[in-house]
Amino acid sequence: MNTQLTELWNATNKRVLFMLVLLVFILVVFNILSGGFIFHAENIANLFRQVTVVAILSVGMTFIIVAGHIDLSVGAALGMFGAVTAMLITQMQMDPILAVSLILIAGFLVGCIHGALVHYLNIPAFVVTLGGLIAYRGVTQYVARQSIPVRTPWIKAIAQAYTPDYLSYILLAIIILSVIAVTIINRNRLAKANLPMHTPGWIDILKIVIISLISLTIVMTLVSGDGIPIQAIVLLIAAVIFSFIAGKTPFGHYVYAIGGNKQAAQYSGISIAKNTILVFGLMTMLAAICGIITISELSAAAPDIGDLKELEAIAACVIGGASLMGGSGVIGMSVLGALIMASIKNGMSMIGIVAQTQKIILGSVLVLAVALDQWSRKGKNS
Amino acid sequence: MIFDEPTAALPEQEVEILFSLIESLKAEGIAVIYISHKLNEIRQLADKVTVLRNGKSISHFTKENIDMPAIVRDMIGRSLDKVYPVQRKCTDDVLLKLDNVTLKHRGKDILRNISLDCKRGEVLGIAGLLGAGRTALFSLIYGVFRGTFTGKMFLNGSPYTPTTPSSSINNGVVLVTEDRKKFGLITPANVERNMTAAALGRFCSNGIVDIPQALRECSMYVDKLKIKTPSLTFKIANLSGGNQQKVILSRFLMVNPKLILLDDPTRGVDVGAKQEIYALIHQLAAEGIGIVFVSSELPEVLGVAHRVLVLQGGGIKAEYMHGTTNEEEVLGIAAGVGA
Repeated sequence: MNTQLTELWNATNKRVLFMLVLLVFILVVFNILSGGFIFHAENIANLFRQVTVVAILSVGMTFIIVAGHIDLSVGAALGMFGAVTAMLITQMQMDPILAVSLILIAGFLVGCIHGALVHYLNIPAFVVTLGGLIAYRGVTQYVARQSIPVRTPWIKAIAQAYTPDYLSYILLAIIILSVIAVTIINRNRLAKANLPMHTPGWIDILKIVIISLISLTIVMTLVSGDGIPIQAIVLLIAAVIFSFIAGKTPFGHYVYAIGGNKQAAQYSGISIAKNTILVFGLMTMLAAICGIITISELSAAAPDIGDLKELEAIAACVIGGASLMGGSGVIGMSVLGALIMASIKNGMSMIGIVAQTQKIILGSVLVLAVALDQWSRKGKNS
Repeated sequence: MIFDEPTAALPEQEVEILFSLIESLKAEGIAVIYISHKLNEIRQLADKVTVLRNGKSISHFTKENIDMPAIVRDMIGRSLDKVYPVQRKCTDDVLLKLDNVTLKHRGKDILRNISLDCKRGEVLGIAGLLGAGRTALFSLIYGVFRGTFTGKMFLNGSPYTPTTPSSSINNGVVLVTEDRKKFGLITPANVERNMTAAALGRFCSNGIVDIPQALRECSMYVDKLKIKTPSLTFKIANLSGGNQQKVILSRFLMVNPKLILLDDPTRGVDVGAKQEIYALIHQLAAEGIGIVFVSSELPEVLGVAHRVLVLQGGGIKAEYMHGTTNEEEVLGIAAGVGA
């Protein structure tokens, strides 16, 4: 029994475990303090809706930070693309599907320009995206100087609608089956290559069971209310796709190499230009997607949408363990970091702490999280 | 006063200055602990010698009873029968040819009228002091140079214009740099990621990386080069210098090169691993790969290479076949004195 427990301990990623336990702890504490309102279906749904934008931004921001850069423009870019979408659809009567497609392409191209400026002109990303932050906020404030209403039903549905029950169950089944399939496929391929398994079989089964139970609880809670918020599904898809890109594509590996040591990556034949431009392009495209989610939520474009969202995204990545020096960071962990921040905010609102005090507490939590991280690393470094 | 490998980055002339400084410290009554794996320095400086291995002190010697073979045996845990491997005869096929190449940067001549060739299966050694232009020569051939060059370069008989590392690698030319911390190690990453950094394209099908295949290839190189690491997912920052160097070597062997440029490959590497690297160099040469080998340790260049060129002040000043010269003669030319 003892050796099995040791095996389990060695196989767990301590950071993931710690953050999951922390998340549960936060939710439970606030649940008690608020008289049991946290775990209500309506509040869990609210929690997911509140976390979506920051979490999607943190997915892209993880890549940016891993590459050794930073992107301060994403909040303002979100605002700009949201406002322009509303303008195209409502004021210029453009077909909504065309408008959204154009905005997504524009988002990608604007990001590519960031990347090109950073690489070819050697301007630090901080400076390029700071300029973007200021300029795009100006564009947003001009385009949406009077709030632009958004009336397109399917756009409003993204942030305001929920999945019907049958769809929720299908999604749950897809999640559980995918986790099982991925585990089996990975073990098969390691076996075929005559390589040792990373973890013993029973630990993998335990992981599958735990993930299934968590997904089951969340989905059933949401189903007992109005269903799963559609934007949460957008977040899930974005996180899965980008995690796949990070771990299984050459581009993903190159980004980690460039962030780890840019010159070593260059001397290994990796194209710094292509990969830098692509990383920034993807980030701003994700910001554009978040812009559309935001105008969907408000059914309108306002001049201050997305304000300061980049800082929350960066905080999420840092809490999730991404190193600001580049070369390390995990997308799933950044999303978890966003969830932790959102659950603290959500809990504080439930027990009536005012917004100003919330900001003080959140700022302290961020510094505390990094301090804890540095303290735990101290033991590992010689 | 404690010195830890102080001559690693010092040019030859300044090493002597350091040694006389140490002598004057001793004369003043200051105790000196001098840590080094360069045995000629130990022989020159030490009153007492202690050999450490794997965290234990193995043996002690005094100035009077210094026994070099015993020290080497205690350092690596086994006897060193021959320092340098026996050479195989190389072919006559010219792999790399430089014809009257001059490299200028900011108005200065970095390399002057360089003409050389390296044959398939040959280990070509380049001897020269720091600043002679050895690294510049390599950066030119690999496509990472600054400045402009005139002259012609040929690879396998066809004109060769190196522009980027990527195009060099595609042509079968690889460079293992002298400063692995700056240009080699992807420090936050693990052994597997470091090894596959240049060859990732080989493990891709349909744009997806086949990780088990990559792992299997890495395992092969760990065995082939005898790399000591607990696993492929071990962080490279925690490996010893010699093992780190072997990982970087593996990275560039994985792309199946035809010409390998080695810049000071045994810098910061212990005696045992050095031997393994010399053996590997000759193994690769026996497979038909051309190797151009630069080192600041003259005995190494003279011992390992089929042929040695002496680089001084940006130009090639002498050429020797293996075994036809000695350290003093080469050092003289490298320092700019003598014919």
